Amino acid sequence: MSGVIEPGAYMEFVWSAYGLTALGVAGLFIFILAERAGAKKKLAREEDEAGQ
Amino acid sequence: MFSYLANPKRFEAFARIAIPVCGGLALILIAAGLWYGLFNSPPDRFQGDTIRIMYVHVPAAWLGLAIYFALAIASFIFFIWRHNLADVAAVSMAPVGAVFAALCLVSGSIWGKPTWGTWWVWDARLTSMLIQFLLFLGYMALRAAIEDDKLAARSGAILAMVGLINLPVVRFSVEWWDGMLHQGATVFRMDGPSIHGSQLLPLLLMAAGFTFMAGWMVLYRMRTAIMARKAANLQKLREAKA
Repeated sequence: MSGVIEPGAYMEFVWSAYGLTALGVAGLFIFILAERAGAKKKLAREEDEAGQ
Repeated sequence: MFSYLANPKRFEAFARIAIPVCGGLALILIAAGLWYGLFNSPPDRFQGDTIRIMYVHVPAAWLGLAIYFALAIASFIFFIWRHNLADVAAVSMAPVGAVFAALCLVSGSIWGKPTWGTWWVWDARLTSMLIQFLLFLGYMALRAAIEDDKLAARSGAILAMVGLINLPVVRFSVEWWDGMLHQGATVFRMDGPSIHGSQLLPLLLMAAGFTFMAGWMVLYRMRTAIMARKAANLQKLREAKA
């Protein structure tokens, strides 16, 4: 088995690329989930208003 | 497809099944791709371990282009047939595509430094991919800048369709221009992939995993957008009554 865990040249570039990709994807996930929570809250409020 | 799913109840039923399926497949494929890509594939003869950057860079690039293509098709369907679901799909895809295009540029830059000796070069592939990223940003900015929802949707659709012209430039730039630093196609070639199976397997696993992940994100955002539009309609009704 040969992996980047073994000492090798340019490891910092490999881990930086994977780390930034993970960060970008995680950020997108958080944005999507927060957006959903906001929309849900707004819809519940408007439905309450409409029901009154 | 869009006609069938244009009914919100049908779309909801479809999304309820498709979202967990996409999420589950994304997790499995990305986990397998990371295992093969980081720990179970050999370093490249010339590039050494930096070849492993390819397993995130190339899927991000493919998605940056594929999502834009899908966005432009959805915009075309909205523009011609006025299917609201097509507009919801287009608007839901934009930030997802922008993030993947950005990840392609960032990971490519990190790969470029040890391989070419520079973070960035203004060659046709890199420049056209940067334009691709800016097209996503332009689409989102245009839609956000116009208050009238219908006008925003139509203007965004026109921009998305015009921007389609950049896709073949990105795809064929390495063939159309000489003296490029960026390498040519290695997977989608007339004579078959030119990379070894031990590198092709993690690449395809990651590409499939990223695709399902993007599918999850777009469908999830579409459900949110439908919810937000419903809330906005209720708000308009309430304000009209007041």
